[in-house]
Amino acid sequence: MTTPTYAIPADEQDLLGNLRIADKQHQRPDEALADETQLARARAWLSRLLVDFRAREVHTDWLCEVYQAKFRPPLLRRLCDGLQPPQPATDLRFNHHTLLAEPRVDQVLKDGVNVLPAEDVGAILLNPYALWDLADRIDNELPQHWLPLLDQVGQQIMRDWDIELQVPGMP
Amino acid sequence: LWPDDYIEWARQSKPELIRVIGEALLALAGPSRGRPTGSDLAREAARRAFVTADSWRRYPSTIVDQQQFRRLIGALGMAEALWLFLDHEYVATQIQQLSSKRRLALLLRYVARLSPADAGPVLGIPLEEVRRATLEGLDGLRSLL
Repeated sequence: MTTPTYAIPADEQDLLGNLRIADKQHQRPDEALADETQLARARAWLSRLLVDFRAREVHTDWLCEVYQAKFRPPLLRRLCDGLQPPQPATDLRFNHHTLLAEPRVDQVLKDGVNVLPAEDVGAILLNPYALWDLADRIDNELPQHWLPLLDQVGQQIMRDWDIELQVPGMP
Repeated sequence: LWPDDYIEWARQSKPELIRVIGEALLALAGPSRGRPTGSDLAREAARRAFVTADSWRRYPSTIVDQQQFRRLIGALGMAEALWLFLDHEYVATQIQQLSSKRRLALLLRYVARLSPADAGPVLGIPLEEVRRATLEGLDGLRSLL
C-alpha cells in the first residue's frame, strides 16, 4: 500500500515564503509575523511540525530547496540506547542552524510554542536543526502539554494509512 | 478479558503508538524506504506490541497508570518496529555492508533482543562499546538506505 503524499497547506506555504523573504532582506524572519493572524498561523504550523513527522519532512524538503542546502535528520533519542544522538553535520547555507537554548526548550516542552516570541518562532521555522531537535525532545519526553496534539496526529496518521488496529483480548 | 483500565488505556494508546512507530521508521529509513513500507510495518509492529501487552493480563495491576501503559506500549512497538525493519528484505541485504561488529551488534540487540550486557560477551566487548556499536550500526545503515 502506498502512503498518501503529504504537502504543506497553501496558507502555510505563503507564510513560509514571506518568512524566507524577510529573512533574506533583513535577517529578520519575524518581520513577516508582525500581524497577529500570521503569528498565530506560524505558531500553529510550528506545533504541527513538532509532532507530525510527515509535515516536518515536507517542511524540511522546502527548507533544503530554498536554501539550496542539505539536511539529514538526526537519529531519534529513543533509538540511541541512552547515548547522545550523533549530531547532523551543519550546513551553513541554512541561515538559521543553532539549537534552541535549553531554558527555552524546557518552556516549550512544558507550555507549548505560545511561550516563544515571534523572533524565535520565525527563526525555528527556518531552522531544521532546532526543529528536529525540539521535535525529538517532545517525542522522547512526552510532556503533558503535548499529549492531546500527539494523539490528534496519531489519529490522522491512522486514517491516512488506513490502519484499523484490533487490540487482542479486548471485547 | 483485560481489566477495564487496560482496555481504555489500550484504546487511547493506539494513535500515539502508530505515531511513535511511524516517526522511528522515518528516522531509520528516510522517505525512500519509509514511504512504501511505513504503513504496513507500523500496522504489524503495533499489532505485535498489543499481543505482548495482552499476554500481561496474567499479571494484573502491574501497570499503574495510563502514562506507564503508554510508555510500555510505545517501547514494545518500537522494539517490534526495529525487528521488522531489520528483517525487511531490502534492509537485510544492506546490513551486510556494515562492519561485522556493527552488524552483529544490531542483530543481537534488535533481532535477538539481548540487552547490551548480554550482547557484550558475544561480541567480546564491554557494555558501553556495545551501545556505541549499535548506535553506529543504525546510523551507518541509514546512510546505506
